[in-house]
Amino acid sequence: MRKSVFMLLVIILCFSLVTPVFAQGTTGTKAPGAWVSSVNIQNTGTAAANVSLEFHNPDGTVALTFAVTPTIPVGGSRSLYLPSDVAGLGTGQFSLVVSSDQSLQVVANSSSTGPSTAGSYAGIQPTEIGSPLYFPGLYKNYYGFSSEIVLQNTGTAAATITIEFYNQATGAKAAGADITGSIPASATRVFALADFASIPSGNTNGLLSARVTSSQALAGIANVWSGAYSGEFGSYNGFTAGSTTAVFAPALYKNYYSFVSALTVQNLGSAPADVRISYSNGTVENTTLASFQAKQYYQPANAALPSGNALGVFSAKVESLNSQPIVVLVNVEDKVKGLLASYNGPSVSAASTNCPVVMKSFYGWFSAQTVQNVGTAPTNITITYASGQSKVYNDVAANGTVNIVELAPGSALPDVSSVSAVISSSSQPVVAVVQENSNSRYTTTPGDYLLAYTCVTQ
Amino acid sequence: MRTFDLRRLIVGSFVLLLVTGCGRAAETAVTIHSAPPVDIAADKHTQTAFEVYPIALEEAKKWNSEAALYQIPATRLMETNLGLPPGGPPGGWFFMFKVPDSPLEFYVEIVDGVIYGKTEAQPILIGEPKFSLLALKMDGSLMDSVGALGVYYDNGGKDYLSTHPNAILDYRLVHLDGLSNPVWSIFDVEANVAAPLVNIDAQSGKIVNDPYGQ
Repeated sequence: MRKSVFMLLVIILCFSLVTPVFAQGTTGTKAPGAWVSSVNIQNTGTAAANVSLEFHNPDGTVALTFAVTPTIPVGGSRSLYLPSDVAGLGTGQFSLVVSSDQSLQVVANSSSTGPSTAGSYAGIQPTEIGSPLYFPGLYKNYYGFSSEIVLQNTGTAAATITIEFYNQATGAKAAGADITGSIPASATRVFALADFASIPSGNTNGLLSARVTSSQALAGIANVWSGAYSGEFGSYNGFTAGSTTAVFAPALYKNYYSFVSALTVQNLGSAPADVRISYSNGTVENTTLASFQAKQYYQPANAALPSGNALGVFSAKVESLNSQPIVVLVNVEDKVKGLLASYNGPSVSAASTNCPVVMKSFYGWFSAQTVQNVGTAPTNITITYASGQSKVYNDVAANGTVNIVELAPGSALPDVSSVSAVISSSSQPVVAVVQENSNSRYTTTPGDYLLAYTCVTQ
Repeated sequence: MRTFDLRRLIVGSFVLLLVTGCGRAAETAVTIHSAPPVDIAADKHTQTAFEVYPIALEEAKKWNSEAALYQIPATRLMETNLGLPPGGPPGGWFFMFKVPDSPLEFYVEIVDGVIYGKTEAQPILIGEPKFSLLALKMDGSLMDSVGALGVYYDNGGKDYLSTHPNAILDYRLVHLDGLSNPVWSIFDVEANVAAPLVNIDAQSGKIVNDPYGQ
């Protein structure tokens, strides 16, 4: 059985959580709001998928096992939910292990009330579990942003962990800020930066990265939030490995319909990394990152990048010039509405990539898939939806992108759709990210309804 | 907002009272008043549940030709169940369809006469569920949502709504196994998304207990 592991914030009946605080972290999120989650599972295998779910309490004990029957057909997907009006799992934060005899893609959507925010992340695949884990972007009172690391011990014995923080501005390890602790087998702990006075704070020193080492294999995500606007929230997966060649950032913005972005590169290597960022408009930036250092590039701060609704959307290729492993995190923000989402920069490219959830007019949501041609020549890109439709975008330039927005009239997807999609290329490798947004929900209840995830290369 | 002719509703309720039997849940006699047409601002639906039901049914039949209506779940709770953030239209109607003996559910949400969302979903349950849903017999014997509102209005709703100007009404229609009739429940989602203001036998129009609180 193949397993995907991911943290799932499950709150029943929207009661607020009161979380006990442990020396090694807490058992519940510090992100404000009352949270609920749904799980969307796509069968990317070659036969009907037998799927089982195993929910774990924060202490590692099994809270619930559930067999998903009937099986999920090939290419099919299913939403699984916890009925709030039926006694079941109870209120709390749980981690979830999804097992199947077929390959799966799992996306967890979490949303909160008070404030109204939403986040999305892909299930952590077995290849993404390990030690050390790296988190490129962490924030403590950094222009109003806060963050936390959520770690699950996937091993069978207690994990001894150490979290090291690195100052993005200097590259130096934050002195005296190490967090050490123990996580029981299968248990989950939340490490909110605000809970640890030793971690530096503020606009100058509160921009950090982290390296987590453990005696057991870990799965981890980071949550990022701000109280600005009506509340903002985003999530991303921790990294276990980097690319020694190149990582891609398909969707970057500089004042594009009020969207901006920040690209963060982290060096996972033990030696300094020489890094080159090549934007699709030709702008190049070079830097050297100390071991484990991350550095954030805020696109609006770069005068060489185009701005505005016509040109302010672009992509980038981030290269490691001396074979040190690097990873990329991108935060996207709408500076008018106060929307925030994060995605992990893809490093693996291929002629085809799989996006578990794309939407059109679906409960007020739509998605936009940004596909980047990371090859060296133009290519034709085809999106094929699980519902049978497809659309071709010809002659996408090398390092160029196509933005497939599921809004009428350009979308080939029928209204009221939420399906998986396969994006393929005729001759060049591609990568893609998906952003989900809801203008209508924002109109009714202002909040952060922007979600993002990275499509999985096949 | 919808303008309701309560006189028409009350007549309908009265006729139903004459021809239907009693459910097993505790019931209270309905107080019937003659009331002028009112504009109930707390109700954001532009159409009644049964007016838009055929749209949902048509979609459900595409999902499975044997699909039958099992529930009109409360909109706000259903959004929560599906992991949808708040901010959905307060006038949406959810319909839940099933095929007997299958754990799969199919939800269709209708807003202003248009399909707003549809989902094949599966609830994650522990053991045997405490409550079992029966298919709703959509043969004209059940009171529509506007009928339930009329009963509520004349049985405490008028006073409640006059003192809760920010109330937003939500509805649920279920027929639980063991109860003789389906029950409408009306919620004020601004006050409590899970505790009904009133529960009304959808055939007799009588006030009854919360079917989930039996």
